[in-house]
Amino acid sequence: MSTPKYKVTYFNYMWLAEPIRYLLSYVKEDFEDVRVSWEEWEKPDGKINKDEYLYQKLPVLEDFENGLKLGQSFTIVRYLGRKYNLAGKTEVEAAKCDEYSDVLKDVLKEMELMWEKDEKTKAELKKNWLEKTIPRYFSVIESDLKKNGGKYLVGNGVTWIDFLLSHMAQLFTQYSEVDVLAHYHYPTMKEYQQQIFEIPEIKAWISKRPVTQY
Amino acid sequence: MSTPKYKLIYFDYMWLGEPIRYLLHYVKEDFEDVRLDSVEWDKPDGKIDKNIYTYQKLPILENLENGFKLGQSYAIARYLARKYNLAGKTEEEAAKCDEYADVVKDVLKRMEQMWDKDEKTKAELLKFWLEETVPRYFSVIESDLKKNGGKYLVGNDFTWVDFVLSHTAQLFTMYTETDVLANYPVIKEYQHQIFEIPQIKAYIAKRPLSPY
Repeated sequence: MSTPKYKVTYFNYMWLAEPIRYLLSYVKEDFEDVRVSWEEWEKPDGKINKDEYLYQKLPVLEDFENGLKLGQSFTIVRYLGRKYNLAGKTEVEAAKCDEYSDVLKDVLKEMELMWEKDEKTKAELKKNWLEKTIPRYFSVIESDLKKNGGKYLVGNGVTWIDFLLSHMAQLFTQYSEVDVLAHYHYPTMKEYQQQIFEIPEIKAWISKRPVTQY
Repeated sequence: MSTPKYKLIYFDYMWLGEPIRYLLHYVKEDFEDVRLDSVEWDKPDGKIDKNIYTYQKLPILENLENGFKLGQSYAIARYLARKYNLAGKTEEEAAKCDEYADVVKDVLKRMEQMWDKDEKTKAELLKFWLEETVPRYFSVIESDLKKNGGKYLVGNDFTWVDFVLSHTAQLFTMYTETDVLANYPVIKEYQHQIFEIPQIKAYIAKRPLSPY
């Protein structure tokens, strides 16, 4: 049995690391799937030495072949995407992958504003996020995806953005408790997401991964 | 006089557009530097038709040679960087550029949370930002930059993240009216050197003045 080439360190959640886990599963690369306890991490004097992790933030990828330690979830997915030819076939396609991922990050950052707020503020922010922010971006993605044939977001093959978008749409749904794709009428995206999760390597990962709420 | 290869559409200030402008000036590519009136943009029934811009967001880059239109400031910077060999020399270097840029974005997003808040909340957020957020990331960047020689953040030549970091650090200082780099002398000197690059310096001397 050969040693994995990668170690992915994150919490015991899907949240921001799952696209990385999907991509590595898709390219059939074994990886050390290290899951650090969130509760322990949050304790001021907990057992975890956060100084081992860049910026004291997770996820972190370690590439054992070249010694690279890399932080920032979207950067990690792009790095692996480029390594495994899942970053588009032209500079234009690569740029479109980046553009869609930056869009998803904008949506995510706006969602994060809802954390730790009082219920009233949270409700207002959530309403704006669901009724303005999501449609602003998802209506374009739905249209682009449809124009591109519905199977891949960029070009004519799987790219890293397919794992990122499929997962983030699910994350947004889990967090908001609203099926964002169904409720706001993005049937092309919904079908596409289901097909991504049906890819054999992805389906196999989904059936064996630890079950977590997020 | 040849036609510019690019059109950059943004607002009439620096904010997220400036690193792209720096990059294009650095590689000496003329570009149409379209600056839309941000006040007009914000009016609900203003004169600007936002529907012509993807996601109704700026900046947008148009590659006039192939008609390609691209949004999102980082995607634009990276696209141009790859074209002009400013994205590192290896995949690892390219990834480090991305990581530092994402870090800078995290700090910027936290700063944006101060907008439209009452003075008390703003002061609390600013305190946390200055005492926790900025040091968490900038202490690492200061150390990495120092280890790398102090001139370039990644590798041994300029990359797009040098323009992103130099500009955004200046933006932080301008917006919060605090010298955010006071405790980071290596970053400060590096930033100064970036702004002294002849093409950059020349552009800075002639660009329209804006508060941020």
